[in-house]
Amino acid sequence: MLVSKMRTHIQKGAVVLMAAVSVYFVYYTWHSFRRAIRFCYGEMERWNNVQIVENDAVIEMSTRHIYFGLWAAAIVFSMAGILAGLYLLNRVRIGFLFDEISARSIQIFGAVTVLAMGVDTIFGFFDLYLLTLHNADHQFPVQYMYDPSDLKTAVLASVMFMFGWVMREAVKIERENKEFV
Amino acid sequence: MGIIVRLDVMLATRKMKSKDLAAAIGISEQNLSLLKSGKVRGVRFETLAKICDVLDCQPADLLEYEAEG
Repeated sequence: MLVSKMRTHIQKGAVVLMAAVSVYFVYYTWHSFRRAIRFCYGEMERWNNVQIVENDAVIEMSTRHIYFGLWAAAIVFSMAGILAGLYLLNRVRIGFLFDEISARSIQIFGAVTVLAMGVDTIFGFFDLYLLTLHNADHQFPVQYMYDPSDLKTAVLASVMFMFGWVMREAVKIERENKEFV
Repeated sequence: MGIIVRLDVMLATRKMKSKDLAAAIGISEQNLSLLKSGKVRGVRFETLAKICDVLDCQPADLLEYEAEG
């Protein structure tokens, strides 16, 4: 297959993927914030309906703010990861397949995704503690908890980061070779 | 850089045009021009060998070191 034809296919693929990721980005943002706002502020009784929370526990507003803050941070970092992916796809769509900025955006995508999974895990540490903070008894301590799917995503994102790094070096070598006659 | 490219001198000596040399060694005229002006980071041994072959000269006839300062 001709290089130019392959390039066109890659660019078309990026357009399709961009459309799908954009839809997902809007859905993810809307759905995640809707859940967080509803849980923390919208329907106040939801907190007490959690199995480990006592029904008569009075949840202070400051606890709700902290819980929402941590949840929102996890959402925002995930959004940043998706946006980095969209930026990369847009560069591919325009035609920048093999340059330093595209390589760096692969690295940024990987790094932000790892960071998002990290924030998600930290949120997990405080999740049960904050939920049960106002129980008369049976309060849960801050504890190490992790989601295996978060770990899997973080490992894959680390591979992406490394791939971006290798690509950056390859771009540098190519540029250096071009300077040799 | 202390390396001076004497390709233009050799071309004049051999009464050869840059265009012909570029065609003979298989590089673009633009790259040959960059090489002549010394605006390249390096020259491949392969290119150097081809130039020496076409101009019937030695690498030392094409490159010269000049101490800086």
